[in-house]
Amino acid sequence: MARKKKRKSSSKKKKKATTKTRRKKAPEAPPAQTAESQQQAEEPSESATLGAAEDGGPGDGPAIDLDADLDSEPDGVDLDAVDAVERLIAETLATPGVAEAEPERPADPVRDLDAEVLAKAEVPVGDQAAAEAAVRAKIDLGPVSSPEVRDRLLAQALAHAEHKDARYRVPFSEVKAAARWKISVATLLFLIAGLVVLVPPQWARPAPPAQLGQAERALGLRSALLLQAQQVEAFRVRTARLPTTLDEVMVTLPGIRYVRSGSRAYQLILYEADGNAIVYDSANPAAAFQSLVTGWVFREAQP
Amino acid sequence: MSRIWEILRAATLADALVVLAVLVLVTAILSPRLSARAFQERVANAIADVDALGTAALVSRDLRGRWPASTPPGEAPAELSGIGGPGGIFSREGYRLGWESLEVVDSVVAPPEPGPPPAAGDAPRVPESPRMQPVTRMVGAISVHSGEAPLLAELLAHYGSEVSFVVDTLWLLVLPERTAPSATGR
Repeated sequence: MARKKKRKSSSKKKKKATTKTRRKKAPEAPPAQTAESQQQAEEPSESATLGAAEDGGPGDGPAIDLDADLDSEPDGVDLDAVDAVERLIAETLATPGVAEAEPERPADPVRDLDAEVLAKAEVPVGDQAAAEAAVRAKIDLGPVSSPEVRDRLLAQALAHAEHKDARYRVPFSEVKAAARWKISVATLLFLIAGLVVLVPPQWARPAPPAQLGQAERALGLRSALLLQAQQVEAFRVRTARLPTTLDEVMVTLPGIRYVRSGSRAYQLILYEADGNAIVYDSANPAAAFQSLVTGWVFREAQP
Repeated sequence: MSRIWEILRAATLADALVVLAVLVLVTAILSPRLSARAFQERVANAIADVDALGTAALVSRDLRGRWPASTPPGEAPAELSGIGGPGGIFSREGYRLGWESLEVVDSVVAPPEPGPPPAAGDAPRVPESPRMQPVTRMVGAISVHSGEAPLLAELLAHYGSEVSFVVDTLWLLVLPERTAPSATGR
């Protein structure tokens, strides 16, 4: 545990040092970039000069002494900018950790595109001005490089950093305590929800729907048997014989079994849910069927 | 919108758990009532469909002098094609309606057979007991097919067990001769 704490504190210190370094460097970045850009702007002229010297250059050009050119101060060179570049290089060399701590620069699409477009442009070497104009026409650098956009992006970045710093400044113990009681509340709510599902209280329970009782089921089976018997009797009245199967009658109710016991009698059988059979015997119908006959749909025809 | 986004970004896993727990609790409290309400709506729709079919069948019988022909569940008889078809009352979510024309047998008193005229001096005939004769007649019936037993039980409770019954997944209502089906309900 002690080692872990030490590691944590050392990592925190490192983070703080890094943040401080970034904050210190942030205001200085624009001048450095300016110096770099100026240096880059100067480099082509130097390389061009060197290239011209190595190639021999145009035949009628003046001979160039490299040592003399480097030591002397040519016209048009900004001495302040050169000093700034030299100071920046010295600072960078003096602090070796800065280069490592510097975040990896993300790919610059504009710069990459610039190189790519330049490579694809294949403009003749002599027509340098035309090539630059073509590249600038293809790449719209205006909105990206405007000061307003840069200020806005910088403000957003600073706000984001402030937001993250504010979160880091909250003590971990407070965060842990808050999370603890929140998880406790969530657990309690989950338990209550489970109880409501398993044992719903009266106020959360709607009125139960109607259920079929045992007596109603039995009455339904007897009514179905009687109605099916009426279909068989109607068939017998029409054809003067019993049907061979129930398929011959007009309507067949589900689950009824038909058994002929001779040319004049038959049985209709239905099974209850518990397996008990209810039988309608045409030769001797049970009393329960007789009460249905007098009290049900046939009553209008009764004298 | 940005304010909401900031709140969401600042939320932690514990906050999300609390919100989830509240949602689960609300769902656990409300879902039985919502499902019960949906069931009651289904029952009300089924009763309305049965009444509409019974009324249409009675009107058809009065116009044509016979009941519509039987059809399989979910299909409308040709005589009642106006209330069938896609989106009609015969095929609904949770149940299907059917129409049945059933035969029942009545026993009626047969007219006396004319016998030979009594001769003079014969003893008077003993009156015979009335002879019964079976005759068939048609009755209309509405069937509701559903695997939802509580729906069938609700229909049985609404229309009564004197004119309807439940067997297996079928509820059958035998239409009375001269009254609308809803008049027989409780």
